[in-house]
Amino acid sequence: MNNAWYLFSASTIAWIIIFLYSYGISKKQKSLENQMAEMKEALRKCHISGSSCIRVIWQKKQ
Amino acid sequence: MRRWVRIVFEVTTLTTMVGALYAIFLYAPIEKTMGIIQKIFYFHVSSAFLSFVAFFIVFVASILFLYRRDRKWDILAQSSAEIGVIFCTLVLITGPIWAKPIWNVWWTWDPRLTTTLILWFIYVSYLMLRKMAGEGQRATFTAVFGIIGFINVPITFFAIRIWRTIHPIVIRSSGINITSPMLNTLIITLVAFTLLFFHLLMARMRLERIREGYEEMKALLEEQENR
Repeated sequence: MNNAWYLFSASTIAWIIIFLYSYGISKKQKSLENQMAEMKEALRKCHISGSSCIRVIWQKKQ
Repeated sequence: MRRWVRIVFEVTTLTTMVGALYAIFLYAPIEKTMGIIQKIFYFHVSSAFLSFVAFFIVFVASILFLYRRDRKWDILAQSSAEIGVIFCTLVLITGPIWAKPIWNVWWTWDPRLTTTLILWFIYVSYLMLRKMAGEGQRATFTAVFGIIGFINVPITFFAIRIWRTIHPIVIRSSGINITSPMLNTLIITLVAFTLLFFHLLMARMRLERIREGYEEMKALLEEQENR
């Protein structure tokens, strides 16, 4: 196997691992931020209309 | 950290990394004996250096957590351990890929390679312990583990001096054993990877803080439901 292919594979694998890790963090962060936004909305609506609506609104979102 | 500071830091990291790639593939000369495969050296050494830095941060943060019992040190230790394992994995991948055409084997039970593998297992075990330990004990157990596990870092670093090894010795007491353009490229790559490390570390810690906020909000919602 040509030595250049070893270099290419090493650098490609390194960048793929770094990219996948970074992408994973970013995706989890967005998911948590979206869920928190939904919970805030659920809390806001229930403060306006009364506390018994929380379970209904949150379960609908789930 | 303010948003604009974060953006400037990310742009700097990206620019430095592009500069490092230019230096590695276009500026650095091709080594006479090993040929173009020698350029893996820049990825390999930078990853090894950052893995040692990461595990040192775990060590210090674990001590500070046990001393102060402040959750932020536990978050720092956990985040640094994860990223340290990532960089150690890169070392264990790029090393054998470099070794195969040069030593004609993918792996040998050489002291440096063996101690690096042990180091990887230690910190993977740290991460597994974090997943498995109970809520109240997790931080304390992993802090103790993180302190003890650091013992292997100097052993790994000095393995090529303590035992007979076929692993190359680049940094000697007499100086660094490479030409000037290669040294410049190594320095640029180290700076780029260091910035990348801190970028990943801050992102990981931010994720952990968001997760804490999410758990608190969920608990508040459940409390409201039960009223």
